[in-house]
Amino acid sequence: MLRCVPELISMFTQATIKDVARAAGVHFTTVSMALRGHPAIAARTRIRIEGVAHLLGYQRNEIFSALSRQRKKRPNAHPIPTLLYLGRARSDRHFYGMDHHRQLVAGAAREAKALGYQLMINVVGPSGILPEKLQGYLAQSNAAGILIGAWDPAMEVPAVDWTLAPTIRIDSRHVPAQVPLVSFDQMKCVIVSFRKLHSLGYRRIGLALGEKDEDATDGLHFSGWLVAQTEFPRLTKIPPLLFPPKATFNEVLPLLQAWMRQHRVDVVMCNWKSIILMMRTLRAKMGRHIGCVCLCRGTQQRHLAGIAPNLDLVGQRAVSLLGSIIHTPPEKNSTPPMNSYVEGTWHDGLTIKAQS
Amino acid sequence: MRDVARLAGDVHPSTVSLALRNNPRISPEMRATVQAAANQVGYRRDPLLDAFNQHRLKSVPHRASRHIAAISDFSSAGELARSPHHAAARAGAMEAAARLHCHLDFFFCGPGQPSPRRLDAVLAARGLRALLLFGVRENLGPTDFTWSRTCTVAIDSLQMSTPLYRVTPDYREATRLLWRQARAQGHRRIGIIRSNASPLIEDRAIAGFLLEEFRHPEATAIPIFTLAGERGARPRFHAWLQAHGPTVIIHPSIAGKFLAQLLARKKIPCLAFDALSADAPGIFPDYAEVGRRAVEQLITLMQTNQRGLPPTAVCTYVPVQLPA
Repeated sequence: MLRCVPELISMFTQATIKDVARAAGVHFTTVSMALRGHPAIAARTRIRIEGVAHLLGYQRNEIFSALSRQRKKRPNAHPIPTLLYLGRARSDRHFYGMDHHRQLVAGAAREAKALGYQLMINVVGPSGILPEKLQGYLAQSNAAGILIGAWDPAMEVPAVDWTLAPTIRIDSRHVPAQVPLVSFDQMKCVIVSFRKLHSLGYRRIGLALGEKDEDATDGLHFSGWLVAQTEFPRLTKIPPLLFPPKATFNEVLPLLQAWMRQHRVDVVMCNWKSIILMMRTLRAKMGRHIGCVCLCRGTQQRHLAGIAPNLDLVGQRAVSLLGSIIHTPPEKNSTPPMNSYVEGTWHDGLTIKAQS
Repeated sequence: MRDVARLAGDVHPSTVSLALRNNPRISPEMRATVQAAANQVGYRRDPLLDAFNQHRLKSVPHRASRHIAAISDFSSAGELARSPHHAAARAGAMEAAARLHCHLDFFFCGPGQPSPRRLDAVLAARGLRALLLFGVRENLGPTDFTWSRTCTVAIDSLQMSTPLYRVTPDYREATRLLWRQARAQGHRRIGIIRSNASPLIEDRAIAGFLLEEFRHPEATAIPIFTLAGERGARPRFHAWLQAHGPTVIIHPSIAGKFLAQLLARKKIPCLAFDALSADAPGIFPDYAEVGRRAVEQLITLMQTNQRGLPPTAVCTYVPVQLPA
C-alpha cells in the first residue's frame, strides 16, 4: 500500500500533504479533495488516502483551510442573487426592537428563500448605511432587487435614484420613487371594524387617528369610514378626531377625553396601539364603559379587540411582487406603479362587549 | 445538483429540481430530505437561471406546455368579447401569457355551460394547475372549486367571498380624479349615483368621491343617489335632481343608459368612472394592464408553487388616468 517508506519523516517533522500524496501515489490535490470528502473522488480512493494520512499522522489544519477557502471562494463561487431590504431607523437595535419591522422582515425572508434569493437586511441610519452614502452603496451593490421597508415618515429621506434596480416599497408613500407599493388594507379594516361594532349594538362609533398616519396612508382610513357610514345612514355621524403630528401620549389624552364627552362616543376605533392604555387612563374620568378597537393591533395585545395587520403576509407579498418584476420587467415609461393591499384579520377582545 | 441527489439517497436530479421548487408532486418528506441535503452541500437553485430557462422555453416549444385556465361566467367567448372591459382584459392577459410562454385556455361556466363543479373536474382531468378567474360576477363559493390544487389569481371578481389574490382597476382613484377635475372646471355641485350592480366596486368608487368631498369641507355635499331597480327610480331621480341641482354627475357605466334617457333635454354632463370606451366621457380603466398584471402574478405563484388560496385577501389596484 505504501509506495515508499517515508524515512524522511522523523519524529521531529510533521507530515505534509505532499508526503501523504507521495505515499499514496496520487496528486496532492487528490489528497486534499479526498480528506474533504469531495464527491469527485471515488469512495475506495478516499478510504485508502484516509488510511495513509492516519498512518503518517497528517491532519488537515481546519483554521488554515477555513482561511484559504474564504480567499479562494470569493472570485470563483457563483454569487447567490440578493434582494436588499432597506429599513430606516435611528439604529439597528431600534429597528429590530420594533415588532412590525420584525414581522415584515420574517415574511420577506421566507418568500425570498422560496424564490431562491437571499435577503440582505440593511438599516439606513447613523448606525448602518449613512443616508448620504446610500446612493453610492446601491450603485456598487449588485442586488437583484430592492425593498424599501416601511420607512418612518418622520425621518428625512435620502436622495436616491431608485431606478438602479427593480424596487418595491412597503408603505413609505413619502419616498419619492415611482415604484409599486404593498401595504395593509386600512380601508377594509375600518369597514370591517365598523360592521362588527354595529352588530354588537354600538351606535355612537368614533374614529380617532394620527394626522400623520392619515396622510401616510393616502386617506384610506377615512375612505373606509365614509363608506361604512353610507352603509348605516341612520347612525349619528361623529366627526373623526385627528391627533396632531408629534403629539405625545399625555398631550393626546385631554383631546380624546373632550372629544368623547362632546360627542358621547360609545366606542373608539383608533390606529394607535396605545389606545388601550389611553382608555384605561380615562376610564375613571369618563365614569362609564367606553369600548375601544385598535385598527392595527400588535401581536401581543391579546385583550385588545381589533384588526391584526398580517404584516408577515405584507412582507411576503412584497417579495413575491418584486420577484415578478425582476422576471418580467415592465416596459419603460409604462403606467404609474400599482398598489397592493393585504387584508387584516379581525380579533375579538375584552375591550368591547355586546350592548343591550 | 447531482451531489444533492446522491446525498438525498440516490434520487434522480429531476426530483431534486422539483423538490427545491416545492413542487407538490414530490412528497413533503422527500422535499424535506432533499432540502436538508441541499443545505448540507450548500447547493441553491439560481432564480436568475430560472428566468433564463423560462426565456429559453421559447426555442423549445414542446416544453412550454404551461397552460392557464381562464374561467369566466359568461355563456360564450362571443359574449365575453362584447363586454369592453373583459375584452380589453383578455387582450392584455393573452399578451402577457405569450410574452411569458404560457397559453391561456378559456372556460365558461355561465348559463348553458358546465357548472363550476363540473368545470373543476375537467380542469383536474386536464392537469391544469393555474387558474385565472376572469371577471367572475357570481359568488363561486369555497366548495365550488378545489382551490388547494391550483394557483389562482382573479381579475375583479369582487363578489366572491373566498379570499383571493385579486387585480382590479383603482376605482377609488378614478372618482377622486373625476371629482377634482370637475371642481377645477368650476363645478360646485357634484353628484354621484350608485347602482348596486356590483356593490364592492362601487364602494371603492364611492370612497374616493366621499374622501374628496370630506377633504374639501367648503364644497357642497350632495347625497348619493341609489338606483336600485329602474321601477320607481324616475320620480325619485327627478326629485333628487330638483332638490340638489347637481351640475355634473359621476356614475357607474351600467347606469349610463338610464341617465341618458332621463337627462335627454337637460345638459348635465355625466362622467362614468368605469367608461366602456376610451372616447366615452369619464375614465376608461386600463383593463389590458389589469390582465397583464394578473397573468404576471399568476406565473410567479406557479414558479414558487404557491397553490391554494392566500390566508387573507390580497388586492392589487392598477392605476387609472384621466383621458388626455
